[in-house]
Amino acid sequence: MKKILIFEDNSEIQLILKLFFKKRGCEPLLYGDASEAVELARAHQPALILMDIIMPGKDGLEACKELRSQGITTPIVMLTSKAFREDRERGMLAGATAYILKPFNPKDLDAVVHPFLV
Amino acid sequence: MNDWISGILHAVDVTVIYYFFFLNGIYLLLSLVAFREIYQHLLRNIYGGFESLAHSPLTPPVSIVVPAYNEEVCIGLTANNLLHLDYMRYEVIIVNDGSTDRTLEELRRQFRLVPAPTPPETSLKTSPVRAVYRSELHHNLIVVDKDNGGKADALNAGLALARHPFFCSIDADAVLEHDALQRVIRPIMESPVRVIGVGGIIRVSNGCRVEKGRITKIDLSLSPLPVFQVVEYFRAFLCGRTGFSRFNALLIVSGAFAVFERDLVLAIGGYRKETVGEDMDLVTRLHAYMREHDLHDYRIDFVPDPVCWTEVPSSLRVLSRQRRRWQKGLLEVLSENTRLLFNPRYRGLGLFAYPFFLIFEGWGIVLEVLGYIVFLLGWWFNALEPDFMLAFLAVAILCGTMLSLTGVLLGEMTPRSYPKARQWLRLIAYAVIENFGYRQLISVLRLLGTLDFIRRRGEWGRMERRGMAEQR
Amino acid sequence: MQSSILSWFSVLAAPACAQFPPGVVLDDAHFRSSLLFVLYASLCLFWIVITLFVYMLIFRIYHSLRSAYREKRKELFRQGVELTLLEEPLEKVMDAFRPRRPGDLDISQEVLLEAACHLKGPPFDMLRETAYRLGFMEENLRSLRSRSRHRRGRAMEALGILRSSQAIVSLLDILDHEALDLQLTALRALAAINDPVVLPYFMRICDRLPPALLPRLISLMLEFGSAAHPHVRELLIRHANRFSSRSYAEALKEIAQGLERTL
Repeated sequence: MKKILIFEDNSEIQLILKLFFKKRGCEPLLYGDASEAVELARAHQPALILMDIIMPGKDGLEACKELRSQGITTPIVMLTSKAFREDRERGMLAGATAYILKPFNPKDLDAVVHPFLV
Repeated sequence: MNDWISGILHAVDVTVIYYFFFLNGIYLLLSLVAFREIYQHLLRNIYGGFESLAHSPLTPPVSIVVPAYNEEVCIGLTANNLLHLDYMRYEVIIVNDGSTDRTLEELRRQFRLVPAPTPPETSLKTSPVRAVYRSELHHNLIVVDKDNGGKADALNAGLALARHPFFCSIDADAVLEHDALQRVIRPIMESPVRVIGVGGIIRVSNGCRVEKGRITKIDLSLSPLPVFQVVEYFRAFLCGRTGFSRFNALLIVSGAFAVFERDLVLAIGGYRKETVGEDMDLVTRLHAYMREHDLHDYRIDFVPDPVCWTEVPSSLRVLSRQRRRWQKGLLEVLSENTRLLFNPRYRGLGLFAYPFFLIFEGWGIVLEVLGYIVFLLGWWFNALEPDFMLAFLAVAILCGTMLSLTGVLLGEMTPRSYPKARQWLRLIAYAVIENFGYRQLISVLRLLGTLDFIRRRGEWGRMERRGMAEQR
Repeated sequence: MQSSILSWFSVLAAPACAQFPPGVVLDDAHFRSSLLFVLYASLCLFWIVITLFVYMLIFRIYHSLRSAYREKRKELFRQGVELTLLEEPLEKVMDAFRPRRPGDLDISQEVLLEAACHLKGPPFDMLRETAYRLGFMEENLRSLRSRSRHRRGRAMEALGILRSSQAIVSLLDILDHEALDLQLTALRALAAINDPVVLPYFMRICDRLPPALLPRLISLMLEFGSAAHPHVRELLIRHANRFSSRSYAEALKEIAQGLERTL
């Protein structure tokens, strides 16, 4: 079963993402902050990483940069709220593979993550 | 003759009693005002729309200025905390005020600093700026390295570099709540009148768990001194400031965290180096400037939300230094602004806040300590009149205890309050015990601060006289 | 009455009073009237504070019991969110969200709204349809006229999250009567509902809003997308002197970026 690492501090969104990935036969692993992102990525070898931008401690962009600088090539999808246009651009520059806007349509999320789950 | 003497003694008795009565009574009345304000504020917070405020590009950007002197231990954590706030646009300006330790090196190491162009000179004169750096990792971090000049000087240097319309000053060892900026910018955005400054509640971080620059567990310290200060801070912020802010008569917005309009602060010449109470001095001068220019449609607000956590002295020595300095700063500001006293031009500030601070917080401390001494001596030598004794106990101890308990009560209403019942029971116990030793201790320290102020004024006077004599 | 109050107080001050012969303290004749006044006033304040304390204690206990109860009930209704995401039929979702006991309506709605906040597309439509069929919309529309400020604010927020176009008329009505912060809540809800038909009302509100809030109003209008641009332009022209140069520049930048998005 493919593992999905999810870094998101909002419990409602965590629930939604958990159900989404369980329905697709994956094993979602949920974390509220990304400070140990590198260690977790190495330990679990996930097929995909979902990262929220604003989180306590280390934010998503920094975690993304750190993951890439440590040679982790797992696809990273950033979850961003629509106002953070600058964050979307910076996310791409930080090494994110794709982004999805909050609030999100599960079908859109599906379209974005599907290529990484096959 | 005897009648005359007993008349005088009676007058002294009544003065002392009424002093305590008005001191505690006015604060208690302000607490009742505060109770209503906090309740309404909490209701408004529920549908505050903070998220849209934080994420809207039209929310005013803020420059955060952090003066740092020998803070190598915590500057990295503080900077990290500040760079991860939930706010759309802001910059962090750390001013290294000629530190003799490795503050700058720590910043350089953690944030990959590279030289940035020094901006043009402004009207604010500060100690020479050696260099300005920006970070390669964070686009909104700027570090200013300058010669030592004191906190006010460092703040001015940061202010001169600030680009945004609002700036906030924060202590280098303070921990900011992630939504602090949203909470303080809200009155600025949603108030029908111009808001030129906002402060919030400063909470005590002693005993709390701080992880990665955030408060993750709220708890009380095991040692008693910080817990007394928790009660004291609740009392000062919630009973005093919320009430004063309602009447736009706020004289003190804590230097640990406060937001101001940048252009206005530049117009009044920034922070003054000549006083140790530079935060109160700034607020007083802002009020005075607005009133003197007939700009009466403004407010300096206080939000009863916790915005900042700071470590308070846990040893008597450090506490003593701190309180003496605060008292001295208070008296300096009061003596610089005597034109405010009962001056209707300054509305609430001149007619109420300034006289109140002058009488009760400033010089009244002499009467307060005198009152305690008279009471203790009288009790020891069995020379007290029963009515004086009961009345003194009523106003000094009973009212004081009521005030402390009210502070604790109001503190419990605010967000991020202590979660466990045993913590509240402990606070209630300390609120009672506080009036049987701690408050008296603080009064003595403030009296020493008053003496420091008088002595320093004496020194200045002597220096002036010597200078004039030399001129002749 | 006086003696009883004094005797009550002297119980509190008993250790200190020990040095006096019994009876002296309680004798009114020994009390100077100036100090007697202070004593009574202090006792009054004492009772006020104690009453407040007891009130807050009772309120707190009630509140924590209520929260604990609500959290337990919410677990029950979270199943509705799961069924929605699993794309189960509407009837099943409705059954999961259906209130079972008095007081459940509020709780069920809260769970529904918390999920609806973060979703778009078919799951959101499902949640909205569920809310409509279970009568949440009507309940919120009724609450807009509630005497409790808190209920009115909550209702406005709920109608905004659910993008209820039925609520537009009632929300516009509120704009004329409510206090400033509830007006802003109503405007936020209207912006969330996102029907451009309300834009002229936003323009009308402009005249009544204090200058400091104009950028906020523009921010909300821009959520309507390109439909709002002509109105925003008109607003900027008509009220140019009420903006600061900075907020004016920001508004123009935002419009430009909005245009770029639609191209």
